Amino acid sequence: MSLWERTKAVLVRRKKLLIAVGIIYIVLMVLLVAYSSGPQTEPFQYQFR
Amino acid sequence: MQLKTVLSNVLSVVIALGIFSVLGEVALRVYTRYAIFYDIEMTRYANEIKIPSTNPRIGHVHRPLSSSTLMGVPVQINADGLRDRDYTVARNDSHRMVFLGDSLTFAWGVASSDSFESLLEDELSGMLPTEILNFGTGNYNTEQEVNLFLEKGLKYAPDEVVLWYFLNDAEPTPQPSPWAFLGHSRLATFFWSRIKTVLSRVDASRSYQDYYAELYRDDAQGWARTKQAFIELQDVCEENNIALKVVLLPELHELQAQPFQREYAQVNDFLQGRGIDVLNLYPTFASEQNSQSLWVALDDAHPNAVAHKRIAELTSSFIMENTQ
Repeated sequence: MSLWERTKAVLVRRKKLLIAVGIIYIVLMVLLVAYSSGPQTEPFQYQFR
Repeated sequence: MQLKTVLSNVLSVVIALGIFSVLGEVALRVYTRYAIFYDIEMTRYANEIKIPSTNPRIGHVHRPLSSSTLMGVPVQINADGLRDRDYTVARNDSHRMVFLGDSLTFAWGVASSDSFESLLEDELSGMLPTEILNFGTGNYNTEQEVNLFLEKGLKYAPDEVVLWYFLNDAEPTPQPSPWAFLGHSRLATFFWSRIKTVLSRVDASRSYQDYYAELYRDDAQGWARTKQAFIELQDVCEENNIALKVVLLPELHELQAQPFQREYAQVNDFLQGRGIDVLNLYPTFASEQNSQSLWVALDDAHPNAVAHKRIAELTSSFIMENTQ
């Protein structure tokens, strides 16, 4: 069995885990947006470069 | 639980995170085609307009002839890396000024024609033909502004240099980040931006108030280098017979409460002590009841077109003082 087929088989078996991770991910993003919306409270900061 | 089962669960979680990150990245790319987020726009500015400078005291410059639409307004960089039209190095009969500054002078979030630089050029040209070269560059501090002037500005032989100072110009010169590659991901930028915002609300030391105040502590390296840069600029201007003026631009939070009076006074006193002409606009904005009405956006406290217009009105006579 190829690596991809083995990975796919693992994911199919762990379908519930995948859905749980997805829900946690989306809830986390929604909470982040909720708690960080509103007027700017952090200083202007150097951006990556 | 068997080791194989544990590994299989970990692998599933990692793959799931990967899948949802890819979906999140795609969703954010679609969403930000219609909605504007300050941090994502600033990161696009870094990716699309900025390039590294060979001079470590400058750090980054604008890519000549680059263009983009940032914060919903077009940004066009000229052949010499300025957000301005092209100017010949050779002088004509016009009075020539160079404006040095950071993103506020660059007119972040504001159309070029609405910037205080353009408005002042138009107004002053009514009295005396005037050229103003806008050297404003986002994320610069005073040391970078002065070194950009030494590298690129002196050749234009201006009659006058005006340095537009903002409170965070006393930051140390930034070093290239090893995480720069993350700036290519909207999702990474999103998480970074939102997490730092949440932290700034739960941890006072990460708020703009404490951050800006910390920059002016007696032992702050950045402030020491800022003072040194001012002295260097003053010396160069004197050697080249160039008038030097400094305008202190207002920090646009809590204008009525004026939380940064001490810091503005510190900069003002230093400049006056050096005999440099300085105009402090911070107290002038204290009558503003709604600070946010002067912001580019709710998540971006840069001055908007209304604020740029007011800055131009409040500074024109100071800029023209002693001009022949």
